[in-house]
Amino acid sequence: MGQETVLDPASSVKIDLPENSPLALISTNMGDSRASNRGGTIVLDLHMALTLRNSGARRVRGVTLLITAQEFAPGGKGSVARPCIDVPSGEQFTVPVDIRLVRPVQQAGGPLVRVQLDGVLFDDLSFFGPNRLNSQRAMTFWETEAQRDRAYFKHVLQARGDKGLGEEMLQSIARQAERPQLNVALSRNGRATGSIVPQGVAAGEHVAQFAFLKLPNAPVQPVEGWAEIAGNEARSPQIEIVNQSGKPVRYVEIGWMVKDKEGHEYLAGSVPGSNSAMLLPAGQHSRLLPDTTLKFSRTGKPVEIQGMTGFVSQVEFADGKVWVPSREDLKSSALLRIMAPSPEEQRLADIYSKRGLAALVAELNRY
Amino acid sequence: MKTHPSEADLALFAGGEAGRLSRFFVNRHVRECRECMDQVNRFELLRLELREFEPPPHDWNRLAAEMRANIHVGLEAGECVRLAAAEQRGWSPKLAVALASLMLLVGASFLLKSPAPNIAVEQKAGAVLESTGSGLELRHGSSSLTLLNHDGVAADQTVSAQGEIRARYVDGGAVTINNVYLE
Amino acid sequence: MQTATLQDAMTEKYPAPGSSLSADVQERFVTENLRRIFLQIYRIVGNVHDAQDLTQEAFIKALQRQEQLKDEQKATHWLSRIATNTALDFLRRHGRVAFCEITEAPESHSETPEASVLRSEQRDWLNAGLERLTPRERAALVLRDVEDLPAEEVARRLDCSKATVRSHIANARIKLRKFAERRKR
Repeated sequence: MGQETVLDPASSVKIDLPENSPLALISTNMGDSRASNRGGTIVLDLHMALTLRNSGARRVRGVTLLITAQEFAPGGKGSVARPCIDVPSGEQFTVPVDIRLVRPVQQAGGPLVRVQLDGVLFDDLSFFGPNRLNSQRAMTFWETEAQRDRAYFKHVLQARGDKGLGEEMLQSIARQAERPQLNVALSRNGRATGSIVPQGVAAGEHVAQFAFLKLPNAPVQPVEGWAEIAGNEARSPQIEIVNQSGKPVRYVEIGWMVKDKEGHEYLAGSVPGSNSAMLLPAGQHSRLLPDTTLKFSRTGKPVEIQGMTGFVSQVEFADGKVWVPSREDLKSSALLRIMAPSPEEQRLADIYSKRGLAALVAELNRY
Repeated sequence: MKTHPSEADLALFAGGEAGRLSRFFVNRHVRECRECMDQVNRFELLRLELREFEPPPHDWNRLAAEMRANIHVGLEAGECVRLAAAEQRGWSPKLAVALASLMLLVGASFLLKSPAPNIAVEQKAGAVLESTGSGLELRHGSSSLTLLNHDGVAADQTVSAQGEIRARYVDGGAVTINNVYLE
Repeated sequence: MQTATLQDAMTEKYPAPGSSLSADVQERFVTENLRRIFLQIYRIVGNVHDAQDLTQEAFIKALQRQEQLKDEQKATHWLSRIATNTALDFLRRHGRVAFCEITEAPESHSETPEASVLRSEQRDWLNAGLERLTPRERAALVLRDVEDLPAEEVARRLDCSKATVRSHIANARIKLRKFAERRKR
């Protein structure tokens, strides 16, 4: 067993904000961070709180930080995002970044972890940043959902008063707790196929067709879809979509539900547009072809797939505007029960459960 | 031939619950009977071991915070139903909703701390994306980079078929979303 | 003087019937008793997740009957009784529960790895042994040997006679001892 050498955690991380960034780094609290070299292995435990100040003129509604580890092959990265914030000009806020890095000691010196700004979203939905992670799209979706849900809960408050809002919150909390979750393992196949109908299905597999939950107001509708199914594995999902809106679409995400033999439904994941540079003109069809296999289990036991259902969960138009299902769409299609609540709904429910109804009402009235 | 006390008498004697008469006779017997004295000693040893019976190491502060929040929610639900019942005469949709909410809440609030499911993403080149209860890990060989849930707060996780896992948690009134990606 | 001060404190802490407890008072009641009740329930049901659920349930039940909380000492006993019954009801509904605790334990700097492993092994075998008891045997044993309550108090908590409690305790100790002996072979 090698000796342990304590290192300085602060020198193991580099925080990079661009010069013209609307956010200024005020301080980095390293808290309980530790770094050590144990017999040829570096173990870095970073528990940072980055305090940032909005040094721009507009209110900040979200920030995403890119996390990379030096020389970390073959390539993977992480991000930490804070959506659903409301930071006026000149005000500060914190972003927690908790990382553990374990790697062999290498010759190259310098910081092991790099934290960079990927993007900042403002209240007018404008964006700043390199956007390497497509965080503009993600944060715009979250902010759009946040506006939808705040409007909904404010409407409930107006129509049904405090008691009605309390009831809605309790139902939201119950849905969150009740929402059945699956264990999912995902792997890349390495055998892409261009055909909408899978060919060369292996023994023991069968091809199953997607059923679709069509949301009436969705600008993009699914047409048909297939996946190769073997027990608890679903391979190479292929979904054809059509753009029924009057403008070009550059991103679509299909929510994917699976049903087991008892008839229980679970949200398995999502199938995003396979090409981030996709541009689907109005009225045209396209295919989503992620080349992956998903394996489903629950409490350690495989979940045999008896059926699959897809639904359009997000659409981004070429002009940057986004579409998400309305609350009415979610309620009437029973998706509210299966889908995770938006980050904003989760945040409001947390305010309600920890600080009570009065605090929730005060928060809603801020917007 | 000496009659030994019953096992039950010895067990109660070891813990001090034996009645006065039983205590007297057992006490007199064990002074002369090694076998029974050994049994009493074993019972006493078990009592000592039981006193050490503690939960496994856990984050008490987080657990306590969750419990306090859930208790608060449970009380609010009870109040909601009480008010609904007081206002209504007989069955009504409002009361039905309130009672349904309470039932869901009482059953569901205890699941609020359910551990997040494990999610793993593998790439043929050897990199693995995995979600554990404490965060999202990107692993390659003997190296790993993990985005941890702050203070071990339970997270809601989703998978994207493109090779991405996302974990979302609420802590201190703010939402944080960690994401790991396979390139 | 001390009695008057205590009475004043109790009146402030637990107001007269007809008035509900303020949020501060409720919060204090929860904070002061949370750890104790959690441990009590954990020792009966044997795992952290269920202990958390049941602790919450016990407090909600107790705080919904606020007229029982006027007297501080009685309130503590009342809460403990609710906790025991809640745990027992759970064991009855779920039968004997077998759990393997896999928790994300914070790194401990006060124990050697060897001591940590030993403690974990001891906890595992104690849990396994306690699973073999009936719910009431387990509760009686935990209340007597872990919580160190007198047998009369255990009988009150379990709502049975002292003779019945003695019987539960004796059976529990015998079963546990036999389990320990089989394990060593």
